Amino acid sequence: MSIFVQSAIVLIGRVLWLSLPFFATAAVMLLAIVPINLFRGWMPGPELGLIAAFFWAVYAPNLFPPAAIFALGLVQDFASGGPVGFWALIYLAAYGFTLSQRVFFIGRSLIGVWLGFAAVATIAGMAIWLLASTVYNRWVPPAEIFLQVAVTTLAFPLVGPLFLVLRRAMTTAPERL
Amino acid sequence: MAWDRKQRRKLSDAGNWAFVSSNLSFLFFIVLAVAIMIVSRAQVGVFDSAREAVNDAAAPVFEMLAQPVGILKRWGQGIDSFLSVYEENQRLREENARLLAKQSEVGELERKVARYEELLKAQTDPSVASVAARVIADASGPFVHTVLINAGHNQGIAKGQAVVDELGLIGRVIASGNRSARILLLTDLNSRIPVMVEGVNLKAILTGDNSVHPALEYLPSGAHIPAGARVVTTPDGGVFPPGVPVGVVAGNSRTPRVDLFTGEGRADFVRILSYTAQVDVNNAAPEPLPGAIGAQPPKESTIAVPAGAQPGVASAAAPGAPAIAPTAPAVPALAPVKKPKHIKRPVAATAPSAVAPTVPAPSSVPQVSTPATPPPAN
Repeated sequence: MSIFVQSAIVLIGRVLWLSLPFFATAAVMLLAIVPINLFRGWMPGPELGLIAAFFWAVYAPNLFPPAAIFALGLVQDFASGGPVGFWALIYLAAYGFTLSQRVFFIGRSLIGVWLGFAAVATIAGMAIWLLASTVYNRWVPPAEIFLQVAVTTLAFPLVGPLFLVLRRAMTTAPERL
Repeated sequence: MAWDRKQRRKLSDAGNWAFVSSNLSFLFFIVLAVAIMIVSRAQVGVFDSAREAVNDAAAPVFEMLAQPVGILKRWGQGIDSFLSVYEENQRLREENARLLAKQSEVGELERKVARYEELLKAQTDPSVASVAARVIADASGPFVHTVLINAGHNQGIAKGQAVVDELGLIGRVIASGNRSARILLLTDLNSRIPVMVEGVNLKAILTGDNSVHPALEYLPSGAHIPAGARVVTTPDGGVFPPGVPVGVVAGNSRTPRVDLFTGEGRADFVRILSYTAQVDVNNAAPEPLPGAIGAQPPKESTIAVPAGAQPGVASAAAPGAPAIAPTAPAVPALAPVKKPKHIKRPVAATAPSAVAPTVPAPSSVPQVSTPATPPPAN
């Protein structure tokens, strides 16, 4: 086997390994849209992409570059049937905002990070409301958007540790949730 | 617990250049997302084929995931019904008794309606074929209410078709791939469905606004909509079959809203109705202007068409129509203009003069035309 083939295999393996967080997050997002009817449709499901954008921006931005966030947004756009680019922009904005405030989140206890996420999710909720109202050219009722923000915030301590397990498997950088 | 500031900084980025390049790519993707969104809004449908391809590719995965979930749900329901088997049995006995009593009544009414249709030479509703499909993904967000089903072009699904579950209309097909299709639910912000309020025979547009009770819009001003009146689809626009149950008018609200039969607990399986209007409404020839050369049928002949011949109205208003007939005044000249045009033609072709003398033409015309005449709604 030539050295080129060997290095190509190593490179592909490395790319796949590094994109594991993306595929794992996308898989969790797709699992979440299986029609379970858990709340009989009365409550929106958590916005897992937002949790992912926040989590990876705080704990391992090098494992989840902006390209991956963008792709995650497109997955959500295509899955939800909404305007294309909408969730890509929202996730990128949440990711960028979290990254810029990363120094405040890093190394905090679970409660501290959770509160931080609640703040980011609320800001993201406002951005979602404004952007949706702009895209649809009318005031979208905000109640359901903020209900989803609340559900997403409540889901954070359940979903976060799953991502943390993956992160621990991939890097030895010391962090705690 | 708390890390010292120096250590945090050390961890927060991998170096100056990495930080800059990361920000550059971040900006690039922000601009790309904005550009995609603007393009998708400016040119509607530009991403449709990509979306359909992605849905088609993902459909087998969703289907595979939906099956165990379905089994789990059935188990859950099984346990539930096992616990309440006595109450369920009692309820079913009562329901059975009630339905048996209704059955003979319905049989009698069916014979009566068939007889009336024969007398009126009314066109019967074309039979509506349907395809059953499983809901494989429910990605509804706070302002997008859609579901994905596992049937597409290959099964004869096309954009615009009505989708029902066992209780009533749930939405319509907005995009169809080869083996998957997306359904826009009635509650979605973009959902607009032509409907009719039974009893008062008013036509309206059922407008989704993200709430569980869509609103009835474009009603004549001052129209009185009784709470509890049934709302069904109309064939206006040639998209939906007539008479598909949608819901009942909800009480206690200023703007009339509809309590949907389907509710928010969504169905596992749905049926997609393939209905083709008898006349292609999109390519229907324009009405000839009065006095234009070659204007074939005189206006009166179209006006004299009994509205009972309309498939939608006939099915909904047939029992009530003859009772009003003797008192009904002559046809107002304006009224039929607002009627759905696609239905006039085949009826006009079947000698309206033959119908007019035997049955008073206006028998059910005022009923239909109520939405057209603005203030008084009887």
